[in-house]
Amino acid sequence: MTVLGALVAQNIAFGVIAAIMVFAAIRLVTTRNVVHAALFLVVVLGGVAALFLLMGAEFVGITQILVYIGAVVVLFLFGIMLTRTRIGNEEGTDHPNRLPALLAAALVATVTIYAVVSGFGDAELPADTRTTTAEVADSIFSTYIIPFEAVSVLLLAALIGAIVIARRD
Amino acid sequence: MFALFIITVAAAEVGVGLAILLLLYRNRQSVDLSEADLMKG
Repeated sequence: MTVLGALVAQNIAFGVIAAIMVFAAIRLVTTRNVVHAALFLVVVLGGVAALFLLMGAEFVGITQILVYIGAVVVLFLFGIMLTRTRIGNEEGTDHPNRLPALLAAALVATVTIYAVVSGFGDAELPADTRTTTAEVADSIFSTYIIPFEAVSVLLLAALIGAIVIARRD
Repeated sequence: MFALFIITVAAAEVGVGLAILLLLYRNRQSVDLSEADLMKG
């Protein structure tokens, strides 16, 4: 396949994945069944993973699947199923402040899109953005060793902090 | 590469946020934000 053909195929794949993600995200906030909402969250997070894979970031994509779909959503589903006595057609998933919420969402979307467009404009991605897991591992333990240790300590501190906040005395 | 670090920092923040929400529920027996109005004049 030529380089141009690959680019066109990438753009089509991006459009399809993005459309599926937008549809699932809208259904996620409009469905009245919390289990369905969690399953639509799986679709959205799977779409994010697919976009990472499309960008050639295999490590981040697979980590996304393992951590978010494998752990976070399963935790949600267990939490819902262990705490709810009745699942389905819930009352109280709506909120009277729909219009302010819509305005806030539109504002956030506008600022984000404006920031991305004004920051990157029509800059082109390099043709080959692939990063293998081996390269990620090499650079994490050489070039980025200080930031790596810093986020490790940050995660540890957040973990201990969360336990200290949430513990019963 | 930066995406990895940003994801990690976001995970740490989510952990602290969940702990705060848990504490809010334990202190007020509700997660309804319109009831968390102690600072309202």
